[in-house]
Amino acid sequence: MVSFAKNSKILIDIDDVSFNYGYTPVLNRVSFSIRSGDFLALIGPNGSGKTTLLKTILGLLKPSQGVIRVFGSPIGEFKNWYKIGYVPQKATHIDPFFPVSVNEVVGMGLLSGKKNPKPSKKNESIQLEKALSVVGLEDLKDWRIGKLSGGQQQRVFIARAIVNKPEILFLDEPTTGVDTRTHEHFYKMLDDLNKKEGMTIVLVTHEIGIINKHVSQVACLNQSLVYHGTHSEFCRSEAFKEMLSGGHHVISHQH
Amino acid sequence: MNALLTYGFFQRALFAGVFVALACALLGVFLILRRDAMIGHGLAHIIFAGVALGLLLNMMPLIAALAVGILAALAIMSLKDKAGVYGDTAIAIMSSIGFAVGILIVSFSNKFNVDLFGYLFGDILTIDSTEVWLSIVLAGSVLFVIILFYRRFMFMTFDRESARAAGIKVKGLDTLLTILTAVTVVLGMKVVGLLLVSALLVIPSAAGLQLASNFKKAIILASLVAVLSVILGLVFAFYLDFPASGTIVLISAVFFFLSIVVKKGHKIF
Repeated sequence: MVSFAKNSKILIDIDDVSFNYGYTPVLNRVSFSIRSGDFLALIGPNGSGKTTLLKTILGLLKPSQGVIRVFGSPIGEFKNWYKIGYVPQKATHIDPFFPVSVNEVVGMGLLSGKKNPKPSKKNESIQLEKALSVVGLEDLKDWRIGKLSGGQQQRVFIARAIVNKPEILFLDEPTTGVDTRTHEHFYKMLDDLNKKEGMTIVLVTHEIGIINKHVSQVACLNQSLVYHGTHSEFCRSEAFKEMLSGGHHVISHQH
Repeated sequence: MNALLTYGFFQRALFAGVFVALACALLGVFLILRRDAMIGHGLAHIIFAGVALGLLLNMMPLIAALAVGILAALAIMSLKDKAGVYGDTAIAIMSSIGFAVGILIVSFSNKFNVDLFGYLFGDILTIDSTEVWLSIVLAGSVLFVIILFYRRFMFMTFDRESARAAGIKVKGLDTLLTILTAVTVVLGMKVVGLLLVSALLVIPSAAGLQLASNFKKAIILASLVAVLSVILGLVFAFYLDFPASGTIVLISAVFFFLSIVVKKGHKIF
């Protein structure tokens, strides 16, 4: 394993976490930390436990063993949900007839935990506008979400996830079903959030190609943690070669 | 119409009906989008046992129905969460048990068949002032709670997993929504009767959902259709000597089919 920027604080600490679906083990004694400022790609083949690990971090699943600390608190005691943004995997599979506007979807993000002082109506609409401008959808705020393309819908979900200015943003396979041109715009937006806004980003993906260009850290999972370190060292690692031999398509980029 | 408003019984029916219609419409939008449209129908069957019990024990049927309805709502949630039974199966089981218990109670004493008829088919024009106030207070409480948790209900209805990940206690809100439904069914039974109460919960909201482009409009349109259905239903029932319950429901059905025509022809909202 490699050295990290040790001066940045640990936001998420995954300590010896295992998870079973019935008798089927999905995660096996996974331990690593996510630090402030990281742009981390959580990668691994299908069924490697990426989404399961993400759901245990978010408190949606309870680990069968181990502890997850979020901002220093065990996940069961964590209250400050506004510090966390989440873009789910199924974001592109929403009910197209659900009568909800872009603005209403983004407004849902304001419900995350208790943030004091609670924003006034005026501040609330400023927050909504700002989040929509980050994803470039301010002109579509009154549109029904079902009328938008898959890529636009995904951006709405990102706006919802960042409207409360979270410290860490989790995205689960965010570009599934999104065309290649939109990919580039999408990852540029995440880059900006990470570098300009200082937001820590955790990206669950099976697209190894994007990791060289955008991410600073890689955690490679195959039920247990196969690798955790910087992307440059990952490219020279055995884990990377194994993933390549597993038939994954890699597009190499240099900074 | 002005002359009609001078009648005390009509004023009482109008007040209670409008409040109950609003509660039904607000709740109905969430129930339909959660694919829980039949929960009102199921709870109505269970509440039948509550009404029968109230009449048997000579207590106010509204109160007995309320108690049985809330207990049934909790039992349905418990079957879903703790016994792992599918939601619609839990509703089917509890509604069958409730109706069976109701039939047994009725068979023990056949002295209140006429009273029971009013609760099954609705009897809003005979509503007394105590029932009016009770309906207004309860419907007002349902409205207050829905408005208070409006965004949370909307979030968890739209994207349950993300709502959980945002720290929203979705199971508690599920229970709250089911209890509110039980209370609303009890209120609706006097307006349209237990056999038609699910219509008041579903049809105006379904009409609103046909035309709305956002959640706020869906709620407003559903409320408008529900209130208009009750007002027009009462007026027609009075002048044409029709039963109010059936008239209200049929008018709401007309609005629903109109909403489909409007949606197909021209999207006005």
